[in-house]
Amino acid sequence: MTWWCAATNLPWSWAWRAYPGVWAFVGLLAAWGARALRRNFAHETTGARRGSRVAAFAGGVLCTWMALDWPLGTLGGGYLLAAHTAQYVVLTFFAAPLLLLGLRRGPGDGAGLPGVNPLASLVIYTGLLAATHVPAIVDAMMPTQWGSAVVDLAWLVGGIALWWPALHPDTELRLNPPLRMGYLFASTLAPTVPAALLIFGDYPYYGIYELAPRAFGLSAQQDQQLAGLIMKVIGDPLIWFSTAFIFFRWQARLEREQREEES
Amino acid sequence: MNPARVRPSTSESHPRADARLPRRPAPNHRIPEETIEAHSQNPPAVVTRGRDATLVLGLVLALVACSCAPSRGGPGGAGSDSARAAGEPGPGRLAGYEAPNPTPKPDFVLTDFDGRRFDFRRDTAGRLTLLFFGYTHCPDVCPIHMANLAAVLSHMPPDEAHRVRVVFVTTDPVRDTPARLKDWLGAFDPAFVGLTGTRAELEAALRAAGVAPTVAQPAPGDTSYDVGHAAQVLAYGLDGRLRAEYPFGTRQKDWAHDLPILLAGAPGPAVFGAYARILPTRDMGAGYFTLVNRGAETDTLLGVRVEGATHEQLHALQNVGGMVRMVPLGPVALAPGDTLRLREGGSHFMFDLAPNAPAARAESLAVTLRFAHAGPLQLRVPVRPYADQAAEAQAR
Repeated sequence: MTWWCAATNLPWSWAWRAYPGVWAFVGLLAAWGARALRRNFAHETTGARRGSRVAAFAGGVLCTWMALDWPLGTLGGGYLLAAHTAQYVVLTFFAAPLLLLGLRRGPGDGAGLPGVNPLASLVIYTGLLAATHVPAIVDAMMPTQWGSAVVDLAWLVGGIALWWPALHPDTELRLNPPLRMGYLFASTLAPTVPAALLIFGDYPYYGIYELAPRAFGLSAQQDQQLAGLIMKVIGDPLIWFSTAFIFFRWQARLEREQREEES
Repeated sequence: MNPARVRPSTSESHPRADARLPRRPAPNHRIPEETIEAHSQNPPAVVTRGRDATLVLGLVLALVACSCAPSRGGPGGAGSDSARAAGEPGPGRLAGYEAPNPTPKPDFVLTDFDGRRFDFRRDTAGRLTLLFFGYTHCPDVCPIHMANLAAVLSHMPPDEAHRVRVVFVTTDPVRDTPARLKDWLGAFDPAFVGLTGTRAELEAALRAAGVAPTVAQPAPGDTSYDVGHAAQVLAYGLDGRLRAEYPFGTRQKDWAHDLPILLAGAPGPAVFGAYARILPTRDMGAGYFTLVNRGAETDTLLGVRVEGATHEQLHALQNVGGMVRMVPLGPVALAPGDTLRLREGGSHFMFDLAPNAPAARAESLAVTLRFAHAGPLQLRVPVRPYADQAAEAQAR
């Protein structure tokens, strides 16, 4: 029985495919999130804030579902490296931060949660993503449903590790704005290496995608180049946007504080 | 591949070339007739698959460097596949399955997609020829093979790429009209040649190439049927002899590795199935192997050297007046494609060991074959116990 997206070597078609394992995971995530949100709402005072938390968490769940289920999950599981990379981008740069934003608690309300250690976060994030991008590992894992599930979930875990210091549920524990900006900028450096390898590599690195039935007329080389571009062209701007957002908010807060002091 | 279809895998439907390719008559040599043959019946002792760990190493190093740097984070992304990580191909070694029998190109004449008669042997002479039997409606194997070849050829210098001829013979002549063949192959590389013919002609071509027959049982009116066919590309060297086979799963980097080697010419002598036995007295032994000259020129085996031995000699068995006698075997000339078989009960190389020599108790021996042109060829020959001789003979 097929319960998770994995390489099948069947010719690509738009025929819908069911992945009960994905649904179960997304359902569990949503149920766990609903419980956590209810608990967190004890500290919320306004309905608007509650709404934004629910929207953020629901967005995170939706992104997770979109990344893992048909058709993106199917394409990424065994047809196109570009789709596989898109899954990584969605899970790491959309799902993970949205889930964390949804789980935001009040200042000083981080009891029971791991603290912030940017170095550890980067090591976990980089280590997981490095391991799940080594061709040997990808070629060994993606043909199996368990392997594919591990890769997908590793990306979600890696994304949460990446965003943890910047979007910790306890806002008091988050890195201060200058450090947060530096941290996020630093996180964009390492992907440059694999993205460049993908874009400029002479030959496909991943056998599973090179030898997969072609989809959408993309050659293996074009698919790989597109994957490199997705990694950098979508992933990096998101980080830059976040960094800019942090900067302007920080500036506004400084100006506000200065005005308050002057008045 | 689509598991629902009948498509014999290379390893199943195409065991080794020696089991299916025609035998050439034995050449005229001054050694016993059973010793030297045109083609070996022994499978290779080692099937070499190319390995490429360079990219994996590069990726891992890059990512490890990233992991160690506190200011960095990010995904890995490229390297090389694990299947090839176990060993770098050495110079001259192919990533494809090297053919133990360099049989000549098959002799068949078909019609190309421009309607011209195409004499496969004549029209590909002097070029590295990659022969594949497939069909244009194939959803996986055929387009992937063609796409990978086209991609690699596009990376090669034009003058080298020009020396490679890719010939695609349809296994589905009903749907693969010349026009469709031309369009479909042209999408990969306009230089690819597509051939078709009558069913009888195509079956004869398959037989000539030693490739399994195709399987297609379409229902009446069905135009979307699949055709079971062999999945390997046959590579014929510049000398017109089969050099290697490339099953489905051959990567672009494998082609990129092998095509320059195949274009560089034939590799010369190759040894298969070598082993030795040492007498329980530990003072004497004999060795056996199958030697194939895969080169384009005649080469001569001048002698054998066994490390740790005090004396070595090639021997042949000769029937003299009803008595089988062991006689020295002088330098053995091997024409291209010839096979020299040393086997138990037949020709062999014999060696004397010094008392208490380490080689007498070794599990393998360092053996060097000396050739007139190719120079020394060093082998590591396993020593098999005499106790196993009877069981092995029975198994054979």
